Amino acid sequence: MALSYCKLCSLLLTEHFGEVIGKVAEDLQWGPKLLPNIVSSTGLSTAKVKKALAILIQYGFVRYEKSKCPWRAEYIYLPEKVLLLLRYQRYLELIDTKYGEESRLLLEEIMKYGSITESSAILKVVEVLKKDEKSTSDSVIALRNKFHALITGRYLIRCANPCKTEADEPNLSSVPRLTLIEAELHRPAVIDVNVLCKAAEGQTCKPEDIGDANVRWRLNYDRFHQDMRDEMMIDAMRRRFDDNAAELMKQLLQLMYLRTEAWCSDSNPVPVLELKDAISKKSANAYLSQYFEQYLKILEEDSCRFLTKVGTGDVSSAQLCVNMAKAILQLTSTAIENVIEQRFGMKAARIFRLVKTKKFVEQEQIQQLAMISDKEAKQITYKLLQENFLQMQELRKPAAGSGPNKSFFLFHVDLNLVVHTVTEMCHKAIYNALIRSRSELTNHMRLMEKHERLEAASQLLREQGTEQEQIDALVDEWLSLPERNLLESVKKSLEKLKTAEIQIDNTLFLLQLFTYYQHLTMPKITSKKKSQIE
Amino acid sequence: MDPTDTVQCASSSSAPANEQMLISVVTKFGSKGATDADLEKLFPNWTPDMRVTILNKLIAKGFIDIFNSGGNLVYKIKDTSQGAEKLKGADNEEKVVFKIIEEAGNKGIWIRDIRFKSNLMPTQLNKILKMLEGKKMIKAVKSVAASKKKVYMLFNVEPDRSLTGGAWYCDQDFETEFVDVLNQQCYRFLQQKKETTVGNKGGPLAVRNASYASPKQVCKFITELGISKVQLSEDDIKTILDTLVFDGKLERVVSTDGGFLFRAIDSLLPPPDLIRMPCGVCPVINNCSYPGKVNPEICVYLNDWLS
Ligand code: SF4
Repeated sequence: MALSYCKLCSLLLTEHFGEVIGKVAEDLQWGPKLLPNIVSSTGLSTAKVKKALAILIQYGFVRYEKSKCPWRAEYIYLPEKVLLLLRYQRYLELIDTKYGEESRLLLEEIMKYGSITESSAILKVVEVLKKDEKSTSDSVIALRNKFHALITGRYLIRCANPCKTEADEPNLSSVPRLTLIEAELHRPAVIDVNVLCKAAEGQTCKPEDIGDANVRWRLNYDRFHQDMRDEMMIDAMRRRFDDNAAELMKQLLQLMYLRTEAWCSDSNPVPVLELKDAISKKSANAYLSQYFEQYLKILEEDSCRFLTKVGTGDVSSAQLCVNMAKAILQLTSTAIENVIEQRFGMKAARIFRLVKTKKFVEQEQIQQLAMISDKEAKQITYKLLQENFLQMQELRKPAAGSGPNKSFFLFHVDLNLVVHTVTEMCHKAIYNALIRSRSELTNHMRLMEKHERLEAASQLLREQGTEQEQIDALVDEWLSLPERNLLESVKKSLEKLKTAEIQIDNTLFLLQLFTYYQHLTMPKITSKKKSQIE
Repeated sequence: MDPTDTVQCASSSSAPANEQMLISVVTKFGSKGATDADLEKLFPNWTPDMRVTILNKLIAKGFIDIFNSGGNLVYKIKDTSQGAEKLKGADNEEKVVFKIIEEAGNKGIWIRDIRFKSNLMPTQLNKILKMLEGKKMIKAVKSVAASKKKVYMLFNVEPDRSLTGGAWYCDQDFETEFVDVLNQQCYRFLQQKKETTVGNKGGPLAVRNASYASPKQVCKFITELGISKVQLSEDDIKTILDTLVFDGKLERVVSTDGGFLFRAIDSLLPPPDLIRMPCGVCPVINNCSYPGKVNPEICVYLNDWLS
């Protein structure tokens, strides 16, 4: 694990969950550990560490496993899950647009608790709705339907439970084993709705009565990522061509999921006819239906190579494949080229693309093909080399003994390394943004506290029925003009930093996709399927 | 090269260059000779006066002969044996050196290689070269690839492209600005061509095909624009268009007749979000760490960005 990555993850945890949890996680980043080891190296009390671990496990940031001595568990840190904290905002937006506000509230509750039972999520949302005076008598039922929609949409997934029957295992180990049957992953729990309704109305009832006490749900990140990936591809089509091409891509992806697993590197072929039908039925887009074949042709012939047609001949027998891995490769290259363009200028991007297209080139060729003056070309090339965007390979001439001409140097691009470099940059940038937000906050601590107190006070006054104007006047009195200006600017800064964090995470997302597909297409590990049960 | 190809000619300021170019063109016409009309076609941006002055100079120097064929004036190159004629009085060493340089053709030959081939002492060789140069029998040409390296060739030979660098060089210097302007203009042309297709209801294929342009079309546009003092060939324009492909602004496809077609395209992604924050483009990101001398709490880039 790179240092910037570790630092970022611990900082994120500290910011969201407090010092203790950050410290425990940091302690685990060097590898799995047993409880006593954590206690001794962090210097925290056992109770605190236990609590921290429990929370970390609940959110899925840590998992445990039987250690070498079978009655003791060792704890394993999963930093990649921590990083997803940055993406929660995106997930919420995604659900909001797809399923509406209530579903978003449900999701928010699940995020707040990491994993939660259906009934408690519903009850919590009912409370929120009550506060906003939006709850109606049938909101429990409505929420339950929404929840089920999320489950069938595969956005939620069941958490594994400890094995109930210890009988078939010799009772050597006291470390519980977590198991989950694949068929149950997306099966909603049976809930006694009547009890739930009563509970929602405020009557106390035991969780056992509702019936889902040990069925906890958590986010199925892969599903969210799948949507985000599709959106990216569709947007790319829109940018390259037009809305119609985007529509075609969207329909094609939907058909693809009927016969292909979402995370394969290449889709199984989809009959063109079926796509045509789907488009003419589902989307009332006459222009697209009319020019369907032409759109297919230009999409297929474009240099981005998102699709390939298999089988020759006319429409009736032809089939389409979606080249997921290639598409992501294209998108990643584009993103990296853009980064280079912004960091080092247009000409650097030109040189980078050139080297990438030509595979191996000499310095002289770069100058000739890029049409940049000799000196500048050299400068840029070596700058890119220094910053790890280009690699250099030395080739020795076999015959030459010594002297300056005995070997020549070829430049090339190793996209894996470049992606690594850019990923590090992203981590660092997010880390910097977080640190900066924190320092903005601490620098203006007094002001912020004052502001908070004022807010609380005016809230109180409002509840007591004081006129809004009066409150405003009072607030004006308490906060001087410069103070107010400062407050505004601090708030704006924090806002800006927050957006930056989320935006940078978008770049990170693409890079992660790239890495995933890269591993997938590497011949050795093809059998290693991305399992949904971690 | 076919003699009727348009010849690239440098701007009128460089008279000797013009002379050499004229010589090389006339040479290509061989024993048939070049008429005034031929020359006019090949050097469209020379005024008749200019042409006459240059021709007169060359005739005076004895490089070109003038003949009358059927009422038309034709220019022919004087027999190359003129070199040998001039060398009549020269000694053997001079003849050897001249021969070596003659063999080198339009690529020229480096002084060190002449020394190896001729087995002459450096001082003696230098003297001979100076003398030949003085007699306008050979000339020294600097190569763009290695600016310090001089190569020798016969006086009436036009240097190879690899030495002069073609249209992109002016006195051994790469004309960065010129290339940049051409790059921009070519892109503008294709971009406009693409924009005109918006709203075309003839189907996506027609839209796409209408946005393609061949190097020839672009070349015509650039010539009409008049930004170039030098005549640019289609190949030159293709080189420029290729740089635009590397810029990610164009797409290149092979056309049905085997040539290339170019088309403006948009990037697949908007500018990545990493660079919206100063850290994404920060020159010292590798030195920045918290806590440290350069750190995000006191960073001036962030200060500017946030205020
Ligand atoms: S915090 Fe400032 S110095 Fe550090 S990487 Fe960002 S912009 Fe650069």
